[in-house]
Order: sequence, then C-alpha cells, then structure tokens
Amino acid sequence: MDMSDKDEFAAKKMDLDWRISVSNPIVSYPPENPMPGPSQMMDSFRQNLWHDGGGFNVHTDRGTSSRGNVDRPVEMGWNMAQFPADSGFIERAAKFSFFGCGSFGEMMMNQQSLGGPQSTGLFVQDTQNQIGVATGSNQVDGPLKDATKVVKENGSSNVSEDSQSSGGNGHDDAKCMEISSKRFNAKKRKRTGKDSEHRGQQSGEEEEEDKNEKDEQSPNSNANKTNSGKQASDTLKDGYIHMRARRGQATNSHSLAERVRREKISERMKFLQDLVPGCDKVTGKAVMLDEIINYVQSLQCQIEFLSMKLSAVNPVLDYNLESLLAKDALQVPAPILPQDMSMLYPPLSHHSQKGFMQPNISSMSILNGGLIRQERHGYESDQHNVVHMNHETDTAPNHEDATANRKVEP
Amino acid sequence: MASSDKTINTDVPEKDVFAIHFLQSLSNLTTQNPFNSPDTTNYRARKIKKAAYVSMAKAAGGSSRLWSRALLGRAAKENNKIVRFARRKRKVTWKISSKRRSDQRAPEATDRLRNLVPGGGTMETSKLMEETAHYIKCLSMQVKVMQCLVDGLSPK
Repeated sequence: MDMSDKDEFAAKKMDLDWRISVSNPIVSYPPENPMPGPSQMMDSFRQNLWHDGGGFNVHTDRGTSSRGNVDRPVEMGWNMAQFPADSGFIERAAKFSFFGCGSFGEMMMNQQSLGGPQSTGLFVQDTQNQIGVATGSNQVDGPLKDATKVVKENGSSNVSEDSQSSGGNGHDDAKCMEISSKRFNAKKRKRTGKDSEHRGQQSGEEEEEDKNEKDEQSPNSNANKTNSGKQASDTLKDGYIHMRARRGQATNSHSLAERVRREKISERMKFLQDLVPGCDKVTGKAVMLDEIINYVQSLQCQIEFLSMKLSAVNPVLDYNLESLLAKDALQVPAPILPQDMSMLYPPLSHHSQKGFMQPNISSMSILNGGLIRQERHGYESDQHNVVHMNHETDTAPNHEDATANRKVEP
Repeated sequence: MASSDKTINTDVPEKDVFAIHFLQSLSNLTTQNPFNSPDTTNYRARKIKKAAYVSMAKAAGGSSRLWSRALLGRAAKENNKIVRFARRKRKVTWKISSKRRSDQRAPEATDRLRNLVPGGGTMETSKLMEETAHYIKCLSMQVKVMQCLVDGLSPK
C-alpha cells in the first residue's frame, strides 16, 4: 500500500537531515500544481519553507524541530514527491498532508488557539515552546501515527470534497478551517451558519448592558452583506427589535443600533409635526425642534396669561366654584354663543343667594362652551340628580332643551 | 382625542376631565385663601397657575406619564409635602450625565426641550419626544378649559 510505504519512509527520514529532504520538495513540488482550496494552508507552508530555503541554517534546530512536528505530514507528502511524479499521486499526497495538518491543528488547538493560516508559520515557531525541541523520536512518532490514522480515515471522504473551499471537507478540517477563517479578514467567504451564530451571540452579549434593543442579526449581516437586500424590524416578546442591515450600509452592530434609534426619533418627530400647527412645510430636525419649542413656550405663556385673567375674575369664582363642583354635573353642550353667557350672567348673580342649586345653571352655562361630553364619561346619573334638583329651572337632560330653557329663564 | 399612532400611545382624556380637575383645584384655592384676604393679583395669579399645572398633571394620568410625575413631585416639594410614587425602573442616560468639559456648546434644541418639559432631564431623546407630544396635547387642552372658564366668568 502506498500508505504503509509512506509511513516507513517518513519514519526513516525522521532522523535524517531535514533540510535535504525539504529542499527537494521545494524544487519539485511547486511546479506541480496549484492546489485547490485547502491549498491555502499549503501555500503558507510552502511560503514559509520557501523563505526558509535560503536561510535554512539560520533557523537551526528550533525551526526545523518545530516545523518537524507540524510539518511532518507535509513533508511526508513532499517526501512522497520524490517518488514518481504522478500528478494524481502528488495531489493525494498534498491532501493527506493537509488533512494531517488539520488533525495537527486540532491537537494544537487543545493546547493553544490556532492562528490563521497566514500565521501558521509563526504558529509553527511558537509551538515549539510547547512541543519542545523535538529531537526525541517518541514525540515525533506519536503525531505521526495520529496523522496517519486521520489520513486513513479521511482519505476516502476527503478526496471527493477536496474542491470545496469552505470547511466542509471533513470533521477535523472543518474545524480547522472555521477557526482559521475567523481570522481571515482579507477574504470574505461565506461563513457557515454555525459560525455566524456563534459570533452573533458573542456580540449580542457584549452590548446587552448598554441598550435594551439589540440587533441580534447584525453578525449575520456581516457575513451576508451581499445578501441583505431588505430591512425588517419586528418586536419580539423579549423586547428586542431585530434589524437587518440595508443594502449598502454599514453593518456594524453599533451603527445598526444607532440607525434604529435615529429612525425612532424621526418617527416621533413626524408625529409631533402633526401636533404642532403650521409645521407641514418645515423640514429638518433642527428647525422642527425649534418650532416645537416655540409652541410649547407659547402654550405655557397662554396658561400664565389666562391664570392672571382668572385671578382678576376672582369674585365670581368664589360663588361659582362650589356650585360648579357640587354635583360634578356637567351637561352636554350646545354650541353656545357669547350672548348666552352674557344673558346668563345677571341671573347668575341674582340666584347666588339661593344656594348651590341655582349656580348649577351657571355650571352648565359656563361649561357649555364645548367642554362637556357627558355620555362618554358616565355622568348621566349625576345629571339626573341635577335635573331633580333643578326642576325649577326646568332643565332637561338633552342639551337642546337646556339651552332653550336657559333662554327662557328669568 | 384618540391617539393617532399605533406605536406611540398619546391618549389624552376629554376636556371635561381637565375641567373638573381644574375647578376642583380652584375651589381648593379659594377655600384655603378666602377672597377677602389682601392678596395681590400677582400672588393669586401664580397660585392659579400652579393649580392649573397640577390639575393638568392629575387629569393627564397622574403617575402614568413621566412629565406628570415630575410635575406633581415638583409641586409637592414646593408645598413641603411628601408624595410617594410607585417605584419605576429608570434607566439612567449616561450621555447626559457624562458631558465633556470641552463640550460646552450652546444649549441644543433637545436640551432646551428638556428644560421645558417637566422631568425631561433624564430621558432618552425618543422618550422625550413622546412625552413632549403628550405634554403638548395636555397643555392645549388645559388652555382650552381655562379659556372657556375665563370667557364664561368674565363680566360683560
């Protein structure tokens, strides 16, 4: 079997001079082929070794030994390149090396977080601290065996999926690719759902203390930037508002929340625009706000002015207030003209001595200026009482009679 | 007047609710300070104005609105009365409390609005807008009530 041959060969090569064995693949391998997807990690390896090809002696044992641990499967593949240069053979070897790297990556992950493929070279140099200067063969054997095992397992499945770039090749490879892809900012690839969800939760938790409305889908929008052509916002029971980034807009979670806030404010501004009279033509937030402020100030001034006027009217107030509030009886208004008020005023003072029954008229008259909607507030019972008590004034429940009666009053 | 927005609730009671509250407060005023006492018009005017605001706040819904709560609290403090409201969770807006010293710009429109609307100091801007809308509605209602009253009582 080819596999067993490779194993033996690699085991033998272990103690040999790595530089020699590595240099060969460097010469023979690159012209072979540009590898598909998984080759990105391969590229980094190649580059690292390519650069190191010149200064190989400088890197000393540190580089070689550490690289030895990780690159062993790589070099295993490349050692195989010395064999009959069969393109298919080379491809298979490369795949195996990649998978071996994947498994190695997995193992490394347990010890330390894996950097991106671009930084794998550095990672390789870093791990030497953990792996140690591997001169012993035991250490080398272990990983080797694992690599081969993995290779054997994944061999068949991965051959078919080799062309896929995203981490769908195999269990180990997917993990390795995903974690490496996280750091892969230069190339925007479609992330898997799992990946984006995970990131979504992370960013969601970060912002929770600040705001109570969140853009939970914003990390998704990061990945699906080109796919987000719509904007939807609905409120869920938990109080979060889900926003989707619009096309061509920043998808930072902060800016999304900002946009939600701004839209809320503008919505309320529109509502205020309807309230404040004469603000239809005004556009722009600043001018609108000025108008609103002016209106509020004018209303407050009006209240002050009217209260001053009321204080001047005071003598009448004393008599009327008791009566006005005697029964909480307010009648349905008729559109009353000022003359009615003036007509009623003399009878008001005339009747004032009679007690509070009479002033009920005044209450009805005064508040007749479009104030009361009795039916809506259930004052009918009170009104009946008023009717009973005011029988002498002949007030009737319905407003038309009331006004007529008032006019008839002496 | 019903609310016109489906998301923002700015319901305001009818005019008579305001009227009743206002008249009640006025009667309280007159019973407390009988007319015969030599009070200046200014003094009475101020009293009436305060009564108007308090009655407006009560009519508008008591403690269900932020501005009315603030108004009533302020009035109670002036009267040295201790008023207790049900505790509500209030989110502190850090952006107001943390102003940079170099950021002494002229009072912005929103800041001016906060000064005008009672209780607007610690509200978010969107909440401030809601409160302003409700406040405007109540203010206009109160103005109408007072206008009617003045018209009805003014000697011809």
